Amino acid sequence: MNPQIKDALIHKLGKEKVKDDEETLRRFARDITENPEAKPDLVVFAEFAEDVRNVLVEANRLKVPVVPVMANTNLGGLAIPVKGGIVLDLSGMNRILEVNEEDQYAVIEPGVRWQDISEYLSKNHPGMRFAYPLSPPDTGVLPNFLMDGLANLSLRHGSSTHWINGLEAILPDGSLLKTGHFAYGGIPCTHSPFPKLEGVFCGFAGTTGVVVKMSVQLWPEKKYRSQLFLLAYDVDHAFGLIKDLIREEFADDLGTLSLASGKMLFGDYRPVYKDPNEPVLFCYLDFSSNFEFDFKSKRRIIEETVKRHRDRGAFFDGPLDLNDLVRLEPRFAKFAKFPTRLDFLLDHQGGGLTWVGTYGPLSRFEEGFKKGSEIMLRHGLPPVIVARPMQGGHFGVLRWISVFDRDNEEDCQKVHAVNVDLADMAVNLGFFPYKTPQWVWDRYRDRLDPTFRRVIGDIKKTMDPQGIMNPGHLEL
Amino acid sequence: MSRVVFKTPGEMNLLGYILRSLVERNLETPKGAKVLSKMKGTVLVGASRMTVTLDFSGGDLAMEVGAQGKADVRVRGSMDALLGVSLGKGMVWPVMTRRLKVGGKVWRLLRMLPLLKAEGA
Repeated sequence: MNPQIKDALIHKLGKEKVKDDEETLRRFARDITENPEAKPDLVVFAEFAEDVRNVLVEANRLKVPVVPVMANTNLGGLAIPVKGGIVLDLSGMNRILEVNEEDQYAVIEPGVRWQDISEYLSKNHPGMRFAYPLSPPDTGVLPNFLMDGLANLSLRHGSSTHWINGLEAILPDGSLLKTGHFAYGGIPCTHSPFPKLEGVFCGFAGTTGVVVKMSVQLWPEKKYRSQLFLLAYDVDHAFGLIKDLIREEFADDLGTLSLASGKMLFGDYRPVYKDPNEPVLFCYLDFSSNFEFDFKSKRRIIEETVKRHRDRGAFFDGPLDLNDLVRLEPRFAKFAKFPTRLDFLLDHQGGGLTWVGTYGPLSRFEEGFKKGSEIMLRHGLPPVIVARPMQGGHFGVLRWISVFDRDNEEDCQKVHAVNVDLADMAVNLGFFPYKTPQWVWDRYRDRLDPTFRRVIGDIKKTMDPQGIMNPGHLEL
Repeated sequence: MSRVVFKTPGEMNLLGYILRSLVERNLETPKGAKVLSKMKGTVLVGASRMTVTLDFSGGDLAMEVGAQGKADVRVRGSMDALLGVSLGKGMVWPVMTRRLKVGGKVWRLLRMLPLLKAEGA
């Protein structure tokens, strides 16, 4: 790294925002995945958009890599500074700049965490609702949106990039790009009718600039809400039921968790054993309404649909009310209120968590679930699998999760090997990993359309001619 | 000191995990600890398709998947009915409607019930 940059940044930002002590550098050298460590040369703690601009201008001038980071918990290893340079920590930019109830949006900075917006809305706008993922509460909202994550309203509204109304981003040359209605100082309630320029930041893994402000959609809170669980003993029966329920278009969220996920909730670190007589997965249903009659009729739809499947030979236990499950086992409360910290995935020896999280067609859910289970068990890992339909069932997420000891090299190699096998299986089925790690791009590069690869490269080059933004990621 | 263990570590079904969790939490109360210290014998619990054998001995509880050996008391029913008992919805109606079937030394089962109580039941 060009040694001039440290002095230049201290001069512009002050000493307290620019760190290169060993402890700080080590903290940003790795995330929670098995991806190899790489130490940055500097860490800059930005507080304002002007700090970001100063970093990018200097880094661009001196050709120093810049990796924007929020919570450093990305599951694709995307915030690891594989080429060194500057890690730009955005967690200090944590202001909620505006909430507009009537037009149903919030404007946030990149350091706003799920718990920040949840607490802020509860306190100041209890009539508004936000969508929350299964990510820990102290992770970032905006990075999730930029990486096309999902949340508990994704069945209704799709993946999170769909909820971006507009944004402001600082480009590597220091200029500020405003998209959507931000472009002329309007009310940022939608990106329409503008060209969807947000797209050059979504799924681009921080390689095109740094988003410093985003307008995100909110929805109205509902008076009545219920969460139900069914225990399913057959994968085909479970997904058959889920697919029928989707088409009734009444639920906020539907999905499945494999049995192993449930056993981990009970404190078993690697539950690979399965009694042939126990369920294979949990189906969960989340629905809400402002009207009691509507709420009751939704419950009735569930019961009728389950009955029809039972009449055709399917076997389920339940529906069991989540409040009852919490009374039976308080750890079920982890699923009762979002945002939530699934500590059984995070708080263990070595603290490693990795996945192959993919988006693809619901028509292949059953096959992906079964084949993924077989692969994970073959590697000696419990089949921790999450499957959720999204956007009314037009697509869905299939995610195979492994916990491991990051400090144990053998364990790291084991989970990487299972991820490779899972990704091969998933891609062949028509699913593709989101928050895509570089090893996935490397592995399937030849299957990608050459023009797709060229255009992605052209966009990156246009936005970042010097190639300073998060190099080593999204390299096609 | 009471102990609740799986006879074969790592080999347990979902029903066993639920039962263990209930018993362990009830053991934190003096009443629960007293009940367990006095329990002896084998109880077979079946919910839905799953079965767990509970072996009580002098304050310890060892659990095993499936029906193991001769049970002193047997309780079997739907998951909803069995969990309903833990939730305090009572045993009489599920037994009368055959959603729950009980056999053997029923008084032992009744003595054990405080160990299976859910929060607030």
